[in-house]
Amino acid sequence: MKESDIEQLLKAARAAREFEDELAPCSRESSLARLDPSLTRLDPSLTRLGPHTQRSVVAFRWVASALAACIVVAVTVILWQSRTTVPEASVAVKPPRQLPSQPVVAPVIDDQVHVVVALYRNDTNVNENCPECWCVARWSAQWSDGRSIYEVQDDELVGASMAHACVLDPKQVVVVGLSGPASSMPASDQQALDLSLCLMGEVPATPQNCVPAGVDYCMASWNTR
Amino acid sequence: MPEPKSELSLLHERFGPGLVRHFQRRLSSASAGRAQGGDLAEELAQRTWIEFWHANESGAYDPKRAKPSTFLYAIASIIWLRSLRERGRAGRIGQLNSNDEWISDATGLDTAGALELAESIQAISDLVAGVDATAPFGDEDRQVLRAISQEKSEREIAQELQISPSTAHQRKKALLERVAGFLTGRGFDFSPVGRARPGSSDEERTSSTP
Repeated sequence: MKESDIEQLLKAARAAREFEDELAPCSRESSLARLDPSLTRLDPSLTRLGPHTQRSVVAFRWVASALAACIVVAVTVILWQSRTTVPEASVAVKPPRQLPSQPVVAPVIDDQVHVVVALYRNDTNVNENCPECWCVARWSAQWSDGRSIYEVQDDELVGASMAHACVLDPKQVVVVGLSGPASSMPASDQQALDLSLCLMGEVPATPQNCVPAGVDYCMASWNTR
Repeated sequence: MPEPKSELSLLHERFGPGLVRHFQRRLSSASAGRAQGGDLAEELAQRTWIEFWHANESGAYDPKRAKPSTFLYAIASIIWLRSLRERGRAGRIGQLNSNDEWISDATGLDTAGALELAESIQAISDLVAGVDATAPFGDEDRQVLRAISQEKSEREIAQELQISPSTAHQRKKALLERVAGFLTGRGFDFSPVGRARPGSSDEERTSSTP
């Protein structure tokens, strides 16, 4: 092997580490949650990994899935009913609202605050990179069963976001769950938008550079096809 | 009583959404078009899992030699590069970066190549992390290797170690030679010139050169 091969291998090793961070349901900065390499090999101890495999997952997931399904059905019915009564002209592309800066009061659990950021678009040009086409909603992440952001499933995040949609008839939704020190949370909708666009790859940066140190995130998305 | 989930389905559950996100990010960076992004990202992720499954089922993949996430990275890389080749996108997105070109040449874009890439990455990652206690590399060596992986210049390495740039150059060169010798001694010979699986006999060696 040549020196140049070793250099390339080193770069590939770093890329593999970044890839592993990207794969995790919620990226974690702390060493506590970084998987012990021996645990990620294919062996029986794999079943003991992560907080969500230590609980009675089946029951939680049934409840969470049923709740998410109810929320989605309820919001769909409400949107459908409003669709039949609202004149077509007013369902045209609604300009994103002005981005306010009011704080979001987030629950503090174990010195960490949990916030959900959701972006919505109702235009059909979803292949266009268009920051101004998104409207932003933020709310505190109160998971009543005491789960942390790392234990939340993608479909649950998306389901919860439907209740906070800031446009009629969203065609694309991106949801980001954040957990970290209060001082590191986005303080305004603009900051939340910038962070989310960064995580979506709309700006040239690795996911680790999009969120402040010490902040963990989950991301899910949905769009009509 | 419900059957316990297989290790593979647990891995898929844990890493599946992240893998789709990975390809979505790659596609949006390559400006491949968001309209295609969602479907194509899922298709690429699916192909990655299929190759992973085949390698696992056939026994070719040994989890003791590379973590599942490392092997997934290697497969995802070749799947991505294959898709660029198939769709002829390389021209549209400009040149591949040097690491992509090297991976393409070194792996031959096949699963066997991905396996060797993953094992080589694991070996060098363990070396840099100091996991391998028998590896004759000190803390400063590992610091230099980390700096190289971060593509720092020799001047930056010199500043970190508080040495002259020429000394940094010599030290880097010597260190890379030592690492190459160490890995070759462990049976790794992963390069575009030729590769062999550690412990394989001469008859089993395959060369990627035409």
